[in-house]
Amino acid sequence: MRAFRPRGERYVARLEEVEREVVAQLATDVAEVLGATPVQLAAAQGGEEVSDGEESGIRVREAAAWDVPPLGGVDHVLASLADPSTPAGERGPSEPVDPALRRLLPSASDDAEVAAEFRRFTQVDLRAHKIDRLLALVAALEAGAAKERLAVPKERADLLAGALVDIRLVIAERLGLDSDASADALYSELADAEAGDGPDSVTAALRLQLATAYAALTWLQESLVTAQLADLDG
Amino acid sequence: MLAPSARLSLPLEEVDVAEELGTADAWVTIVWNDPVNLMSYVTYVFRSYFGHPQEEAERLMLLVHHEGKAVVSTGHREKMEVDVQAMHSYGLWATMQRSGQ
Repeated sequence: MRAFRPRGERYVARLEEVEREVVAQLATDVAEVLGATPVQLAAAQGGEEVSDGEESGIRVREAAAWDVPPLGGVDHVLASLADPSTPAGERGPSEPVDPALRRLLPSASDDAEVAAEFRRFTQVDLRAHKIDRLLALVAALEAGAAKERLAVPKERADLLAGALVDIRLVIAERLGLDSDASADALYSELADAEAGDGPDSVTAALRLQLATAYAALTWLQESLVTAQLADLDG
Repeated sequence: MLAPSARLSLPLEEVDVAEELGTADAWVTIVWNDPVNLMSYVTYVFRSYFGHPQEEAERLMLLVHHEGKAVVSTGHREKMEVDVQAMHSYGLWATMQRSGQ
């Protein structure tokens, strides 16, 4: 894995095949948590094969992957009535049960009435947008596979950053990272695992895999935001 | 007929802000600390979305980091809904409430 760097009008990182597959799987998992449909998931993974592996063609597909509609623009009230998370007879989507989903679509207020109205007006849009950009990441990874590359046009980089945050939020929830201290402890855990004899149970092995992915994605995200901040400074 | 609040002495946007800050209609958006979002990313969001200069963005980010939360915007309720949704889109944990609560 190589960190994001500015390359012309894009930010580009390098991911080997295994890394690419892990990131694509995690992005797909989080899209599923958000309620992506099987059709959406299949469309993201089924990028059309092009016979020529020309750099120009790859670049076109890498850019096209990020062609995601902006947040907003849906008729919120009508859409929320049709939202699958809206219980029958209710006027809007309710607070998610899965804690990971609650972190992706958090409550906007302690006041139940304010929180409910906020969900009614925003949740459908936000959920769709988060799914779109996670699947854009999957498509971009596939488009750049031949070059072991993950590329995003600079003006679309917030989409990638948001997708990386959402994956990290879900991993963090599954790992029980609920404080700055527990997040720091994860790195000691990883160092100990590296020095030790390996995990002694399936659960420990899975936890180690997630922790490793979390650390790698955090490192990738840091490199992306460093490049974005540098570009804000012009 | 002009509505009672319409005045020509100020640009419309400023009248709007004055009304927001001076009435019971004032709400705030609060961003809360969380263990996942990077300090650099939170600074980037405050610069990119709110248009703050680096120093102000960093000041707010450090408030979030050390105090656990910071008020990042003030205005009428509908505007705060837009800001909170934007923060949630960036993956930050944000809430809204009446100013002064």
